Amino acid sequence: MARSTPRQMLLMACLLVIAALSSVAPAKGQGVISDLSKRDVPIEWNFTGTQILIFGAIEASADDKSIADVIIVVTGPRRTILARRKSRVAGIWINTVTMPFKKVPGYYSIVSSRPLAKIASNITLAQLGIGLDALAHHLAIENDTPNATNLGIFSKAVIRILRNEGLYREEPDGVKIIDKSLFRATIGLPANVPVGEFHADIYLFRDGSLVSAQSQPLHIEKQGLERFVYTLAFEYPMLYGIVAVMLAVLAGLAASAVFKRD
Amino acid sequence: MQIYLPIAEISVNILVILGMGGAVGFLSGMFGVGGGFLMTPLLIFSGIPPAVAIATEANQIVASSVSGALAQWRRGNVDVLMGTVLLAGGIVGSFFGVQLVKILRQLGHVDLIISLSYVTFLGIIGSLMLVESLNAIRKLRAGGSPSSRRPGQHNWIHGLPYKLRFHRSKLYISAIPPLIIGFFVGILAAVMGVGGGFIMVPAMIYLLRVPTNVVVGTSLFQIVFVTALVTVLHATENQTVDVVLALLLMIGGVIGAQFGVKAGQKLKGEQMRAILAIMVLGVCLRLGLDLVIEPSELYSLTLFTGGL
Repeated sequence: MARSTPRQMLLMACLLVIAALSSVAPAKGQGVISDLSKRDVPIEWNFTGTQILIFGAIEASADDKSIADVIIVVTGPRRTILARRKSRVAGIWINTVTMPFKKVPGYYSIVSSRPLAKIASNITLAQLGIGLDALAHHLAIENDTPNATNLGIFSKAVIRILRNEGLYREEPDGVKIIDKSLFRATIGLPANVPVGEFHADIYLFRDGSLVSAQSQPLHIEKQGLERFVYTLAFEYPMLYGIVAVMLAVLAGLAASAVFKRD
Repeated sequence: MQIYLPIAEISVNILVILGMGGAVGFLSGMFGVGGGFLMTPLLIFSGIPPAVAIATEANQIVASSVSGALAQWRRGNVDVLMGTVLLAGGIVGSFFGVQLVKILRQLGHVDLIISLSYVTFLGIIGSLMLVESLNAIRKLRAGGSPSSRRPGQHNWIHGLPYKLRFHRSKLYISAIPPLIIGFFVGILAAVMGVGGGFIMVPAMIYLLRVPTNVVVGTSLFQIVFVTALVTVLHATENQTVDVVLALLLMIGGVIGAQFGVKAGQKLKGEQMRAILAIMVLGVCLRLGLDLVIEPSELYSLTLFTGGL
């Protein structure tokens, strides 16, 4: 945090206010208070990805020596996808095996204050469904044919591909904890982020066990021209096609009219 | 400057897309070809999903062929009856082709079939063009004049039933061959995102023996309506027409074509055809290699859209 813009200064001021409020509030348990820099992300024609700041305060613990950790999981809308594997058939590479996966998050970002393995045990994380390994396991369980061979390889491939597309992310040091009481993290949303209802789950761990959790909604939606085109294409597809043809005819006629003059 | 394509669902540089449209437009203006068979592979190479590339390219061809078709119409170079018979076949072929693409998408083979179709057609046409232009160059060097090939004898066509009188073409032949040609071109338009002039023009000249002065106008007449229908059908059945991408390609294409026409008037036909042939074979080779070389990622994902 060497560079601090006026905007960041403002955010820090907000964080301090929240921290002040939280210390005044009755200390029932070791809770977490959080908020997002924006809850509605519009995708317009020039959208090239954006960042969301998640920040908040951790309530002070009675035991001053305990280590507090924060894990933030942002999950996008879940869809059914088909995973396909290519094999060489008669010299060319052809999709030969298809496996459907249900409830696959279109986006999954996990940021934490330390590497996950240092925050809690694998069993704890798996029970909470935190982490890409837990997600791969979950995808395999949701499959209709849980005993299919290669299921593990396929679910890992799903995660690998979405990771390469920037839709699945892991940042083991993405959450900054300031003075044991404030935390902040930036979540990157790439240009290809799916639209729909997202949620950010903020988990507070102390000495390896979960003490508090909070879920915050996040809404990503196409806006303006982007929304108009998309809605027309999927809800009124024939009208969309006719409009596309009319635009092409107009463009062609306009072009010949313009270039005929010279 | 980046723009997010709503249907292709990727972010692309506007200038790159305009430049691609311009470059292909330049070539199509220079050589007098449609350009769809070069544009679709270029779109695929730049990361546009093949199914979106073909549907969007069909949309662009409507724009690039409508003014040509209208100009030919005004000059009376359209055999309306011949065009209508070709179109009737084309309509059936379009429906068939778009359904084929829909089924192939569900089976996960659409990318493969599009690539295979391109490798096949670009390979054949590129080779034929290269051989033909090299022969022409050799003849020119030897001092002879480039002679036009005489149409072969296709008497079997005259034996077919359902004969129609095509006044403008001065032909009295069966409606079956143009119907079949139109049908085949309709499938190509739907599956490859091309106008199909590169098949229809030689077929009309050599098979049907339509006079050359009405061939171009009549094929453009068919292409405008078939690509328009293919655009609407792809939009309805597959939701793969990206109108933003199509508009960018149209703008680039129209401007490029103007310069291409001027450049084409200054160059020698035989050399130009040889250059085009080499480019066609280059694109064919690249697509072919992508099919044969082991991909770095064997797995791929598609959103389940129902109806397997």
